[in-house]
Amino acid sequence: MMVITKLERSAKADMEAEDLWSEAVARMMREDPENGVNDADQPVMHIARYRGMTRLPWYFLATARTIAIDRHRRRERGPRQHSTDFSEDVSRSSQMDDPSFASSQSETMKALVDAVLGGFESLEANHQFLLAAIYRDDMSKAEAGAVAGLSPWQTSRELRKAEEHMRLRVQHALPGEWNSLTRDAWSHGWQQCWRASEVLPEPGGDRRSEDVA
Amino acid sequence: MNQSMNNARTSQEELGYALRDVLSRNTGSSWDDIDPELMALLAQGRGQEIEPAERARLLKRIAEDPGLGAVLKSIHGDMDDVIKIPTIGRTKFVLRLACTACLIAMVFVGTSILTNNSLDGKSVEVLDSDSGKNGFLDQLGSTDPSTLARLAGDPVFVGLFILAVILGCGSFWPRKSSST
Repeated sequence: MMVITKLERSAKADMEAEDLWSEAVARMMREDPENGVNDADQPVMHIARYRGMTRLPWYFLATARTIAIDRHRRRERGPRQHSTDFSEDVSRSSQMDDPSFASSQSETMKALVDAVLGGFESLEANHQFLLAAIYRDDMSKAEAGAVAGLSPWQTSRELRKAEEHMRLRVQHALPGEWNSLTRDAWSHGWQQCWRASEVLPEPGGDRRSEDVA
Repeated sequence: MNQSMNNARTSQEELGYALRDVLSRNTGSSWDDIDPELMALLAQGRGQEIEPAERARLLKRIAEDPGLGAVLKSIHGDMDDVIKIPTIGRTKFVLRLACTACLIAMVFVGTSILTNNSLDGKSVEVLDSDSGKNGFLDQLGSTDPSTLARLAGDPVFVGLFILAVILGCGSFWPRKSSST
């Protein structure tokens, strides 16, 4: 009952709360091929994965939430609004601007994108998570830190480290190119790429990080 | 000037598109291997209870997939009322603060007791039996209680001391791992 109440509270599910609950129960009762069969030669259900580390209602709630958002993202995954071809985007913009600028811009941006992505991939899991949770999911620093098992001051310290790592990677990739324009482009692109994701609006959750990049 | 601003804006937009495109490759993957129980633990801020390697893998996965970030945030929102119940961790801060306040109060009360007692000791007037005159005896050390005894005899000081010890013990008591 508590799970259904919680599910009803949120408007982001594409299904009714009861349907989500039924779906979650059905998923838990589904046969789990990874677990094989038990001593009585009966197939083991998916719920056998439950280890009792958290309360059972939370387990069902997390399952229902996963189903809801998975379903939503599958439904929403339509044709892209923007071109997916980077070079195409650049050439499109170059038609409006000075061709020599567009050419250098293309190279600079390619280097920037590579540097940002390379920098992000080389970060530790904790750092990646902090950046994503704070700048992409709009979690507060305290919340993101708590999820990662860090105290507030540790969160600030680790976040600074992650940002410094990213900055150094960009500086290394573009020596002498680090100026206010580049920095703005990096910062804007970083935020934009997260916001373009299929993140659903959180009801009543409009908290934002106090210091975005 | 206008051209420069246009270029800057275009540059930002194009970089945004490019990054978005590359990062979106990480989205849309199957979530069959995602354990809801671990997500629930993370959302509750109990990630330390997950095996480090498994936790790192999960955090990395969430960082790479915006959908999972939404799941985590959503579960976190569901559990808000549970998480907001004062936990031992939050209470500890209050206990430590109260303990510090008690210690400061103890210093003030102790100083006050010692100062008053030492003045009293020097202003006792007694009758000298030989001369039959009134006189002052400055040294009454043998009859004075010790510093510790004076402090121990003061109920306010003793009360503060006991309170500080209790609060101190409470604030450093190890946290039970089983919660919610």
